[in-house]
Amino acid sequence: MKRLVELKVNGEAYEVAAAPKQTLLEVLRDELHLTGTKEGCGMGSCCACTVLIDGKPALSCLILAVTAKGKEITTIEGLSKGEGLHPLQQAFHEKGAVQCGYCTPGMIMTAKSFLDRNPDPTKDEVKEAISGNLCRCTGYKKIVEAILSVKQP
Amino acid sequence: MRLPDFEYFEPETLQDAVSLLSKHKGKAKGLAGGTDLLPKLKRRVTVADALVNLQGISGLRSISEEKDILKIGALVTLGEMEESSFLKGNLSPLAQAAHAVGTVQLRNMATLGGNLCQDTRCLYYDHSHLFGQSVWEKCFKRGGAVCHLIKKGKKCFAVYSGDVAPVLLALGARVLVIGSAGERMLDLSQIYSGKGEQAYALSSEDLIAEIHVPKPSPLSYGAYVKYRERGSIDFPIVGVAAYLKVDGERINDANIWLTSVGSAPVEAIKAEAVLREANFSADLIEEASLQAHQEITPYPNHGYSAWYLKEMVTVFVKRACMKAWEDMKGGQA
Ligand SMILES: Cc1cc2nc3c(=O)[nH]c(=O)nc-3n(C[C@H](O)[C@H](O)[C@H](O)COP(=O)(O)OP(=O)(O)OC[C@H]3O[C@@H](n4cnc5c(N)ncnc54)[C@H](O)[C@@H]3O)c2cc1C
Ligand code: SF4
Ligand code: FES
Ligand code: FES
Repeated sequence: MKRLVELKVNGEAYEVAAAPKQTLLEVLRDELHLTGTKEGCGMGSCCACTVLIDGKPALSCLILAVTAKGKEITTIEGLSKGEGLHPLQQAFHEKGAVQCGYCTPGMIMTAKSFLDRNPDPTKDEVKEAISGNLCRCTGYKKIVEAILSVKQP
Repeated sequence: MRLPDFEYFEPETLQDAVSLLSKHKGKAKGLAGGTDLLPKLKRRVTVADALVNLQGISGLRSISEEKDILKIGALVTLGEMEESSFLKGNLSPLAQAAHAVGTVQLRNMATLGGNLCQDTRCLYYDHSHLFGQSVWEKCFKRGGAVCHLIKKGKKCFAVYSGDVAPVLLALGARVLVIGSAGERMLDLSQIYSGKGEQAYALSSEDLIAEIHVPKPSPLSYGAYVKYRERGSIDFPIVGVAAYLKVDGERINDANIWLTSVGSAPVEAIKAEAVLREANFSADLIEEASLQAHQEITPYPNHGYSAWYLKEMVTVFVKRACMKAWEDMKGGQA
């Protein structure tokens, strides 16, 4: 049976009717139409579905939407304000770190939370930080370069 | 893949959670981080009529010290363990084992309680229900009477692959369990049945509330080493925790536990005996690792041969002991 769940996504409050079996990923995409967050494996193995929960990267495919109430949820749509791009988005664009783009939202959310905690990382630290986010296209090199090129304000 | 239907409950106390579990007579499951349970429900290899969300229960999310015991709440996440100021010095192998699990995303969600109680895994069983059921007859883990992994096998060979349990076991940890008959303290080793198909000796309504770790003597040094395919995401192929209690060059006590080699964590009893009351040398560590090789026969449930896994037991027991020893040397320098 569906129940009303209050979700706080990208700073906005939503009230959605969700069944307990609906994952946060399904509710974000199918109910709130925030389709930036992607589903890859649905099993916790690819990190394409990464969103930030209270600032930390987590897998929306393995979180029941009903358990996410009261938490700050940030998706790729919440990164930039208005028309402009977030510095990470800009860097991915400029450095050619996007090919098919499927892994990009998860990759950027992981990188965002990482840079918030470690604004001046080494290459190895960046590699470790994104080691769960699988990318079939780029070979990771340009992704690492893009993240390293962003110095947080 | 989508989740099947289930009833959903949000108890606020452990007692309420236990009574909900007991009301459903084995057909309800506790939900902590969900990183083990939800994929299994999606694949239909675990079936539950109801999920009892444990996340709303207060008092299980902190690490505290009481005299010589470190108490870790069952809902503390592996990410929190990695960063905890309590898990430093000779308790840092606990933080390292937590760090060795999966990916940063999983560790932010995964709890210690869930890590200790994760289901056993099998190359065959952990496929989707569509795949498994259409191709194979029900195996022991699905209530049948065959094993597809070991031909003519008379039991289930699914492996327990938690990374943190071996370190806790080497430290002699105990768990506070709450059930319908009240609370009880068990040695951590007592919660594991050793049976692949039903890995826990706890009843379906029992919940772990706290993990109690006796603080190791300042003369104890430990290590956790994990053999995995990639540097991230993967479960251990072999994981070894070793704690050595030393006095100069003398090893007074040794505790060595392995994960991912059987349906429960396994203690390398003979290897420990070699090290106990002996003087450290590279040859001694070699001899201990050969004893581990003799006494432990890993279940070949990782896509590698039993022969190869046995060799890896030798290598990783040696590495764990050497690392603990070097840590001691580093600490003295
Ligand atoms: C891609 C991937 C990689 C992984 N890699 C690793 C790895 O390298 N190492 C590793 O150890 N694990 C790994 N895991 C497994 C899992 O993420 C961890 O074991 C995690 O710690 C499970 O904790 P949880 O809180 O998410 O458990 P849940 O999924 O919530 O629960 C797991 C089981 O434990 C029971 N349970 C939970 N809490 C309690 C409690 N307090 N008392 C009694 N029973 C309880 C639940 O009912 C359920 O049956 C991986 C998982 C995935 C998807
Ligand atoms: S090891 Fe266990 S789960 Fe795997 S096929 Fe054999 S009986 Fe089934
Ligand atoms: S879709 Fe969530 S981890 Fe792959
Ligand atoms: S750009 Fe295609 S998966 Fe990463």
